[in-house]
Amino acid sequence: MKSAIETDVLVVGGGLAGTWAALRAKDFVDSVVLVDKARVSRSGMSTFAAGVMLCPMPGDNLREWTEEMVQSGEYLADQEWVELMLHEQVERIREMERWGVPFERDCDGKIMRILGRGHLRTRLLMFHGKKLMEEMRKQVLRKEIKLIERTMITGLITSDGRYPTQGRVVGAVGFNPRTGEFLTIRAKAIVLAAGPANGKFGGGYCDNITGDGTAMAFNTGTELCGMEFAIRGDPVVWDRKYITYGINMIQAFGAKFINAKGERYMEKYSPVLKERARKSEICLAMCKEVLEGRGPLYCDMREVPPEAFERFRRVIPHTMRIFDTVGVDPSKQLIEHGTIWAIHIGSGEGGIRTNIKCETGIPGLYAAGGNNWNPTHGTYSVGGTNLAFCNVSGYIAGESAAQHTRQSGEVEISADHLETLREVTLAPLGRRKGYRPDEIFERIYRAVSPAQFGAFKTGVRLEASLSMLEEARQFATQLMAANYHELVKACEAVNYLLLAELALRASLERKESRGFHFREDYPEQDDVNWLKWVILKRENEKVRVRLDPVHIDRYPVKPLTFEKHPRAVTYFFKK
Amino acid sequence: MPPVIDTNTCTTCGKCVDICPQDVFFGSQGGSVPIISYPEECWHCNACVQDCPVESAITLRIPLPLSLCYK
Repeated sequence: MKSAIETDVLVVGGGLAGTWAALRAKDFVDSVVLVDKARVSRSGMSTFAAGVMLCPMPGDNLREWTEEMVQSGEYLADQEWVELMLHEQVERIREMERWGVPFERDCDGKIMRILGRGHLRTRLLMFHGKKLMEEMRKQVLRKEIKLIERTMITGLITSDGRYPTQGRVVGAVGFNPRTGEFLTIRAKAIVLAAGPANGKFGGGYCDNITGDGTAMAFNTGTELCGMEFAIRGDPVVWDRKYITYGINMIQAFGAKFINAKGERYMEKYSPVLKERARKSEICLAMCKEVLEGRGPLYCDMREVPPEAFERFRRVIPHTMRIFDTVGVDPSKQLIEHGTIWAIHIGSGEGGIRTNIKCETGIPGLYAAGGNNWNPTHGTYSVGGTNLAFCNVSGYIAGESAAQHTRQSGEVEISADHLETLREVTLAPLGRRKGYRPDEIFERIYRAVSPAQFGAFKTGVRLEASLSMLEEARQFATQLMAANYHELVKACEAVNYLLLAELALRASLERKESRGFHFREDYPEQDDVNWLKWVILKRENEKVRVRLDPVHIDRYPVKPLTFEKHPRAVTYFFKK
Repeated sequence: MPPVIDTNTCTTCGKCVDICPQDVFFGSQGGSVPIISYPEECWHCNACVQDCPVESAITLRIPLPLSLCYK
């Protein structure tokens, strides 16, 4: 091997969770390496985040916060995690404040807290993602953590050379998309924090984040959980063309969602929270309104106070810039507004199952942030949970990984094993004929984005979606790349395809409706039979499905009654 | 929605090449005006526009439909 690096802890991904993991690990071990696909502070979901995170503070009644989060997450949260996250988040915010992260302040100079999507008692703080990540980068460099940028990690090295492994994880391989340099990193422990999975929509989503960490871990043999909620919407499409982040803030400052008849349609579906309803309700409601002929839908920000727009310019400048460039003044005009449906893995919609120490079950492998199943969310809880979870899970995973290095001895990595990994990764480079990654993405969108496949599903249509992916699976074995830049795209397509398939599999399994998951054939939320987690694990070439009960009797927050409930938003294609 | 670089005002500092998360610039280093090799991959995150030391040396091409609807 040309380049081999040795380290105690390797962190894959340089967003909020990754940087926290690296910083914490460095408290215990000498050598920490952080690898990022692009450039830390200019890539990653955290950099382009919607500018809000949960902000519990000393003196808050965290028992009440837990209750609200669990209820919003429809009782599928791991409540131990929720409590841990809220308590730890207080400390993480304090630490970031000490570093001088510029959180938005009120007129007294205190951190300003607002009510965003789904919040009644819980609160958010506001920040500018880029500035936050610049500070995180500074901290990483200050602590002398080795930063390897422009390198995509493509596979994990296992001690037995098998996938799924019976042994442990002992390193990772990857390559530089500009120079093509192939990198082998031997590590005693690895934290995966490579973010969620998005499609390539050419919008505010980070198009280079495709669930690479989650896919890699699944192939290595970790369990994934909550994947059925990964076929989901996001109310972030402007004029059917633009996707920008920042909707949570816009909701927080009093935007109204109206349909073509001029009605505030969210009043019907969520009478208390209205436009601040949870994301799942908003997205399903948007689909229903349009399908029933009350579209197009608009966002009305005309009554948002002028000072809120000033804040938008500071915290979500990208979104405001888009409005400016096209000549829309949201303080005076309506903007057409809609939702997008696709596979979004991570940040509350499935991912690697871990315990409270972020251990994945495979020795030496830890998951944080968007790669983690985010047990604090349940189905999809209140806004700002994802970034708070990034802070806390990153910190915990960093510590757990560092502790693990003490007990792990040296492992011989066979040259054959490395050579196989290299060959598999580089295979598309050698093909002169074949398919382009875009063709795979397009097939996936066709199978999951239309309302009858994404928003309002049935068992039959889910099976149809799965068979629509058959063609994409064929393409995936014949991908070609002209250079290393295109090789990255090929790897991303393969990962996204795997996760799309797993999301469909899990959706077939959950025979009820909850959160983003609506089944026409099982239209009720079934608290009698379905307070369960759907868990997927790879066994040889097959996917094994297991249902794990949520031990609600052991948790402090319980539903008032255990019965079947009608959903707030329902729609049936066949009446 | 590819970025457009004004060759007259670009200082060839290489900042945009350095930071682009999607790596749409290729083969360019400080000293020459960057070449945009993968225009179709740009997701207009605006990182290059905002980091460019010269105002409006880089602009993003905003798709026509939205401009037509609202202007």
